[in-house]
Amino acid sequence: MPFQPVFLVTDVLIYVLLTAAIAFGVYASRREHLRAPWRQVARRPLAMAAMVILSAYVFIGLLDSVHFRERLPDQDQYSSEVLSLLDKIATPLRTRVEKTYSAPFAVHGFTKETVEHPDGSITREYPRLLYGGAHLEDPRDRTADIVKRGAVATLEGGIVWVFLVGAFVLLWRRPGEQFMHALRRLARGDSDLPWRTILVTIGALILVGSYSVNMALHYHILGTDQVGQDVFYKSLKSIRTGLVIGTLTTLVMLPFALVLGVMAGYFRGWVDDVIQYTYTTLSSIPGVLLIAAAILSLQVYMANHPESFETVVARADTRLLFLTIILGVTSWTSLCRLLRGETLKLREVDYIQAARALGVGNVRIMMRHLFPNVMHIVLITVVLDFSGLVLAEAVLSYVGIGVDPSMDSWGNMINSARLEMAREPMVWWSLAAAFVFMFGLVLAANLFSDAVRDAFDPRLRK
Amino acid sequence: MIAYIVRRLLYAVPILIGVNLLTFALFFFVNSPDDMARIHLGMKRVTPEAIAKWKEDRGYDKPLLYNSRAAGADKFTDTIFFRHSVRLFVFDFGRSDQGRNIGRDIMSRMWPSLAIALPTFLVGILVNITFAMLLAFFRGSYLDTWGVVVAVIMMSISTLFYVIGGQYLVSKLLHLVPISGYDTGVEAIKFIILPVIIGVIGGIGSSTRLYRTFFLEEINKDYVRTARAKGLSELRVLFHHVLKNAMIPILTGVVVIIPLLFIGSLIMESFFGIPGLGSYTIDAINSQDFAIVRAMVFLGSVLYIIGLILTDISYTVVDPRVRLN
Amino acid sequence: MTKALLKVEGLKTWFDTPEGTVRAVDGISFELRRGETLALLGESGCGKSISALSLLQLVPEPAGRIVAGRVMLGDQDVLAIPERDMRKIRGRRIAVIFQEPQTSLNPVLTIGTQIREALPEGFSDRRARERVVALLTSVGIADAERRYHEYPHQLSGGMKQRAMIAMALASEPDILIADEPTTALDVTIQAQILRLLKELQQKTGMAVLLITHDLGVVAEMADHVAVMYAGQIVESAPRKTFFAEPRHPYARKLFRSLPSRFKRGQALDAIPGSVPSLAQAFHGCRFAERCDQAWDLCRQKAPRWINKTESGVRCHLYDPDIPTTEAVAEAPSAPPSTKDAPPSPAGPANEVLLRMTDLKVHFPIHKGVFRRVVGHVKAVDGVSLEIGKGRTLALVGESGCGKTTVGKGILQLIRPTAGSVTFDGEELTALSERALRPMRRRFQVIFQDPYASLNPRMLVGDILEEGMRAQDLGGHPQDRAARTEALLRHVGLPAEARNRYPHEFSGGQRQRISIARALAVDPQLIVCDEPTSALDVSVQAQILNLLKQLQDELGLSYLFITHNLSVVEYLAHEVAVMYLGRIVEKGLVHEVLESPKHPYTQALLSAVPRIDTDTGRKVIRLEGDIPSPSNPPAGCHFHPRCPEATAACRESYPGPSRFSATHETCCHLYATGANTGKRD
Repeated sequence: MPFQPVFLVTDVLIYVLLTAAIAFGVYASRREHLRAPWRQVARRPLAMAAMVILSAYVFIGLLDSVHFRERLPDQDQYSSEVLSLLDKIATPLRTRVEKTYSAPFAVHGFTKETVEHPDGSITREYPRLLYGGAHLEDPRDRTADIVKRGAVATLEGGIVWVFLVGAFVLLWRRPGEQFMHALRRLARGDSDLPWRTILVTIGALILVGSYSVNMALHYHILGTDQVGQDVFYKSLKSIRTGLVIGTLTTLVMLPFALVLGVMAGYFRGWVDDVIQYTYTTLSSIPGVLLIAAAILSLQVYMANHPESFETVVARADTRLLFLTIILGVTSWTSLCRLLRGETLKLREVDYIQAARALGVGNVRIMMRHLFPNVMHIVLITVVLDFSGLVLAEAVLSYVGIGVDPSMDSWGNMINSARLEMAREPMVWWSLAAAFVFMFGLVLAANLFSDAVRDAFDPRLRK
Repeated sequence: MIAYIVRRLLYAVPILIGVNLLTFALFFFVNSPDDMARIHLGMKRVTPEAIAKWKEDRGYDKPLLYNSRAAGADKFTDTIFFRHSVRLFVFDFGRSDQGRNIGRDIMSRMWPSLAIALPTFLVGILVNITFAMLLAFFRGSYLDTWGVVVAVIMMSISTLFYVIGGQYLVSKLLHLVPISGYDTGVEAIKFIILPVIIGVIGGIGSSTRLYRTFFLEEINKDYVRTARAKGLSELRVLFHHVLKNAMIPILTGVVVIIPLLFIGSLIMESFFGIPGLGSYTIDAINSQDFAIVRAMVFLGSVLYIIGLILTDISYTVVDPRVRLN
Repeated sequence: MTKALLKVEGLKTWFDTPEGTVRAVDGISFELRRGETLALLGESGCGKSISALSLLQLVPEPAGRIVAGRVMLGDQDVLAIPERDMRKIRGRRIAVIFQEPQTSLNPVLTIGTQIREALPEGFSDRRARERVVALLTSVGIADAERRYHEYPHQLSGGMKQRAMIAMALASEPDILIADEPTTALDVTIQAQILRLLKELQQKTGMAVLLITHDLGVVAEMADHVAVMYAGQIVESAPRKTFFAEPRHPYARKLFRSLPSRFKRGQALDAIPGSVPSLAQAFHGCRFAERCDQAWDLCRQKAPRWINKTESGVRCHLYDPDIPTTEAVAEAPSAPPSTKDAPPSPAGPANEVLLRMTDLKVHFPIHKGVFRRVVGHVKAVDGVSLEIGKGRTLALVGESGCGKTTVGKGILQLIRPTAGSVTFDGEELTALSERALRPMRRRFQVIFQDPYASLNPRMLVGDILEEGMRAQDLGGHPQDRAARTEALLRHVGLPAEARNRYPHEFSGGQRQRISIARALAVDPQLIVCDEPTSALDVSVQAQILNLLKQLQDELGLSYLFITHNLSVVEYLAHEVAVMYLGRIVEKGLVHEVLESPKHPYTQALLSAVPRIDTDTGRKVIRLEGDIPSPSNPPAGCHFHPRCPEATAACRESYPGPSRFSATHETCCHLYATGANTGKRD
């Protein structure tokens, strides 16, 4: 085999989550009461645009969640370096490392260096970059080159998009409807689902992608960082970190919150007392401090047990997993309280009383009656929490209790860029890159969760 | 009411014990004091003697829970748990791993924290409620729609960017106030003003949107229809009827924070170099000073529980239906 | 004839919903004269409340909009007045009281403040206060000075509604719109409020637009009646004419679907089906689908309004231009009676199925630092009843009297504090939850709220099979499915219903599903907890017929918990009257309802508005409200409200006095043998 698959713990959890999401999708599509609110979400143009963007993020995140080790050339051994599919695809970005900072689209370095010329003279000047714009004979051609490549990118992206729209219309038109008629109908927005918005958003994404591909092979489109790594590549790598924090945290806490919350509300009595005590205790510790305490503890453990971790990636992954767990511990309490309250109300509702009068067992009442009827709360919480968790990652990394410093994350990017704030001229691109990528994800998630909440919250449905 | 508060305070005791056990387990069971010593003394070439000395200096050389070598009550008191965790209950925070008196540090550092956090809190509430009411008043109009969009955009931006952007704009480009630092007395104002403004702006998005839904929820209730049917103006309905009712859910989230204002904000204080408890905590985290982190965890829990009690009391003020017992 | 004070012409109010445009009010016209009460009568969803809100431009926006019509208040078209100036109309010239006093008052403002807001401008602080106190006094609130400073939650439901009325009267309006003003109240409180409204109207001469679904209230209050159906007025007539001879088939059917003692032993003449959805365009008569006199024309052409001097009707039957030869003759006025003869009034049933003795359900009240138990809410405090096989026992009482708790105590959904419940000889209170489980199939329950009683996330088939599965009945899955289908057909639903979700069914249909769920485990006793209270009269009749038919076929026993006495008269064999956790009177239904002994029973019976008002009924008015069961009055619980209370009543709770083998009451009036029968 030319490679050996590597399953990081978070990878496995991501697969589990993905499977669960797909299974739920299949399950929901067969049930009208679950399908109806989703249809309502699907009818909102803004929500669908947000979903397209989220899908792009998720796609990149998934690419970055398939890990393997390559076989070393001519040897019967595998490389110790763990790569992901994304790394493999973005090999040029990954390997073209400059010496240190360089601005976006720069061809020269950011700092003056002592350069020895072939004629023996020594000058202090901005050296040409090793890779950024290296194809240019004359650095002054840069603008023309960028414009030319931009035009090509626009054209390519445009063609792909036009084909996509064409193919879509062919499939989408009503039986017997003329192509142009269907196209006009699409352009007018005369459709059940907001296909126009969806296609325009996809178009915009294709353009962005096309620009990136065309430019990134020849320039560092978002510059390089202190050790000369491509910031665009780092931003892409950070997506997985953000998504893992945003989703796995919820996955970790969900079983606790759901089972304990419903049990507390249904059984009341001492069960309720114990569960309430547990979550009140946990929630009484301010979140940041609990995380700080836990992460510090983990740090010490890791420092003293270096032998437990095979690779740097595995080590960083363990810390990431631990972070999601501890974030989960701090966030399950509020959901648990919410579910307990709802269950307290539900247990007095007539259909539950009727089930008890029929002699239906407690476990079955919880499974058939309570869980399905609190699911909307769980769903709303999950989507609402996501963006908050992505934002929290940045803050925690800044405080020094976030993901492993060796791991790519927006928080780490901001943290390291902050140290260069005082520099003149300012090194702004790492910050800007982290800002744009994070903002895109969080805004899309917020817009999407808004629509989900409107559709699922019975209080807002009136 | 007094009986209620007494009961709540009594209930706080087992919770604080739980908090204590939890942190104790995190710091002393997951890692032994030897591990900690090694971290502090540098991982390489640490002699057992140095470790023993480090532990002895900090009182970490005792057994964890039960001292079989001591006599009488000392079997329990001459332990790490008693000396480092139980004493927190009398607010005896002991010494930090660097040997500083934590209690004294907390007393002196909470005032700068409060100087930033309190104005941010008060101005923030005022601004957020005003905006939310504005949106609720113009509900369904373009102002409302776009107001919500702006709110969503604002809440999608990390606090870090507000701080960095604010510092860059106000201090570096415009040179209006110093970037960071702190002073005592009136001079402090010029250091306080920027973090307060940034803190307020950073919170506008999510709070405005949340409060708006509170207002809208109230506006759809029957008593509002009654008020309109009486011939009251929309403004009076909003200010006199809706605001008072919407304050109930708003208070739920707000009052609980008040005691925690003493601890301050980690981010703000570290960015602006405020010598408060927030930056104290961050410094402790960075220097891996477990004693301080433990103390702050305990203090935070105490303040949070006080916040919960205050919340309940505040209900009795705004909601005549609530009587504590 | 006096000139109309308010004239509504062709009013249309539509709502935009995801399901399409709902024509909630679709072209209604009426007039209201000074000093007159016009009743707008209709079932839920017919648009009567929206009509009222439209008059004041209070329709919830932006979903609802008034699309056509004029509302002339004098010479002014109210609908043309801009929002700013509407404030001079609302509350000042047209005031409203709403159905739910519970939610219609602002919970965080004092009663005084809220009424003061409704005063016209120009009152000084002190005068405003005096005026509000005077208003409170005039609506019968005692101790108005103190109530001024109280909050709504400190007032009982009836008092809140009085406060609402005071608020409406504050500006001395010309017109009062009363939107179901007593629907949320108990019958004795309803009597108080209706009387108050009548007195105030006589005093002030205001016009009242009374919106109600209750024919009894109409009979008691109205001068003129307008019947609404599916967004339109289908009949309008002076009260006397209307009650003597309703003309529209819908109105006639309404009268016939009312249960009463004269219909015992017969099936009620229910209106089939349910109210049509208003999210459609109608081509013919809106009632045609449910009308047994409809012919083809009714389904093709919408009937026009046929006017006579004082009255009018919207029906082809009365259109002189339409030959009615095709019309279907009216169905026989008395439908064939059910198989059985009227239940025999003689003696108790010989076989007792359920016996409860001295049943008590107390809920502890905690207080203080250590949550010590300082008292008990005695929801049920010593109730002894028997239900015979195949018999119906009605448990009657006002809200909060503990009747629902009795039901739950029997079912062991709440474990009783004391007393015994024996079912077919087996003591239920002694059984563990596990031992009880197989017993549970023998006694089942039907609840009031058709929307809360079915799990919205389960298929109807699963709902019905749940009990069979839990009780291990019905054998194989196929057999269960067959059984489910049979059950659905039995309760009058199509067998396909089992593959659908509850939300696809109307309230009446859901109640049928609830009944089928109970029947699925072959019970012997069904506790029916107000099963028809949330339903419209026409649908109520369907459900009552079904329950009766099932009893005849399956020999079921019912514990029928209700506050509706006409249902009791129609359905029950025995009746027990409950007040504040105790039974005050019980006996066979004719004994108790025809010669009530306890003053409470007498008052309760007299407070029910009757459609046959001319029989010279005298209402015994009860003052005050039901006390809290946590702190019941000493002695006889009823004495503070009892018109005949004596010193003895204040001291001790009376023991039972018997009048026949079945009829007994707990009242000091009959305490000794000498006093027995004193009041007869």
